Amino acid sequence: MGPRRSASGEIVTPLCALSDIPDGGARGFLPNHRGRDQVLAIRQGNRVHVYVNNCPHYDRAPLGWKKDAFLTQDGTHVLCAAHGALFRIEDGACVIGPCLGQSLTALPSDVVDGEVVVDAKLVTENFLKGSK
Amino acid sequence: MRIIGPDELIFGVDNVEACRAFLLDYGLEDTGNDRFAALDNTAITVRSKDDPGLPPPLPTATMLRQTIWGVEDQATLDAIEAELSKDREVAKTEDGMIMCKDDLNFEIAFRVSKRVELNLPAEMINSPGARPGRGPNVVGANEEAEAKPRTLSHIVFFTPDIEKMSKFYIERLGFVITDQFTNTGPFLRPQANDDHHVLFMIQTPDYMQGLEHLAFHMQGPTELMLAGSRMIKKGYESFWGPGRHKFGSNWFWYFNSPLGTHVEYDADMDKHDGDWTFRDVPMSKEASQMFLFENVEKWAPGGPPPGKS
Ligand code: FES
Ligand SMILES: [Fe+2]
Repeated sequence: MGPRRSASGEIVTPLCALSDIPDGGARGFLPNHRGRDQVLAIRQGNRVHVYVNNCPHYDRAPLGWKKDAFLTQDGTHVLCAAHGALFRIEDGACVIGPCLGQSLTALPSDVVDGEVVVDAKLVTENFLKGSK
Repeated sequence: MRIIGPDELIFGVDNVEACRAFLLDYGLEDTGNDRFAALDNTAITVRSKDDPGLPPPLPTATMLRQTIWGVEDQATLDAIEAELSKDREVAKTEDGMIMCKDDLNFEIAFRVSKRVELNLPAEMINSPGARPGRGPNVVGANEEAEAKPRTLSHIVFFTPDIEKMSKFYIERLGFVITDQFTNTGPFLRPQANDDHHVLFMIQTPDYMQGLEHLAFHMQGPTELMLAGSRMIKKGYESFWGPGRHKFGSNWFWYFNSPLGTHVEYDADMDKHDGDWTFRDVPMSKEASQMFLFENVEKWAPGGPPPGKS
């Protein structure tokens, strides 16, 4: 599954079926050549929030501590497993921690016919930055 | 002051279950009551962040609640109590541990160390021109090796006032500077430990105060690689390494953790005594490590190019 054009013409990358993400849970996608997931997707009902898997605190800091382990236990925040920063799921804003006042980088995403798609342009940029 | 090093770290965490799994996979042993120990009985204890028995949290994201320092004997403990009682409240538990805050409000405690003395072999290597470390037919690449953390090595704090904080540990508790990153912070060792550092600090804004990382010593570089590779295989997130630091010379491999701090494996750290003069260099990528690698998928050389026979 590579990038393709959406009905309105933007280039979109399919991530998975909506049902592949447990409701209230998160999953990592788009692994780079070292196996590190470049984005995380969090599902809330029929909505999905997709962010670049990089904490704003450090330029090379993945968020989770384990494959697909991105959220606090109650599922209300994204937890950075480096220094404990917490981010709001709706808009990625850091509410406590070293990156207070900063936000996760959101990727435009949509659910089309039960499929989660994202505009992954920013991932490519992030990926290139990380591999310098 | 005959302080040895960190004896135990107490955390108030978001997800106790995930921390248990992480610390066991990291190689520590569950000694009961959510206390996870290295081979010498230095340990990490995890509690739910709502546990009323925990020392109060800092107003930041850090999950560390208390650092317990191990000292050599009761006389040292008494001396610390006398010294710190001069200007702060020092509480005492039934079993004689003393507790207070340091000058930056980190919760600290002191007790006669619960460490047991280790008597274990070093990593053995064969080196041309030197007496072989391993005899004939002793295989070095042992995938089944246990690779258990031996002892709690060091902790690194984010602190809003490096001057004040280092002064407290140096002037009140007798820590010694072994090396220093200008404007970042000093590497410190206490008097009853010759390791390059058991404590390092990094100057940050006050909303960042907390624990940057903790580390346990492994047998040597090979065990460090083996333990780290096992973590990768189990799906844990590598943060930095493997590599080798310049200050301290220790090999390192850092992982993210559900304890909200980096957890490091380290190996082969320099040792120092009173004859050492500390180095002082600006912090930089170059100064931070001698070399840095990253884990990649396994691979094997083969014969002809793909598609040819
Ligand atoms: S790297 Fe995320 S909080 Fe520090
Ligand atoms: Fe370290």
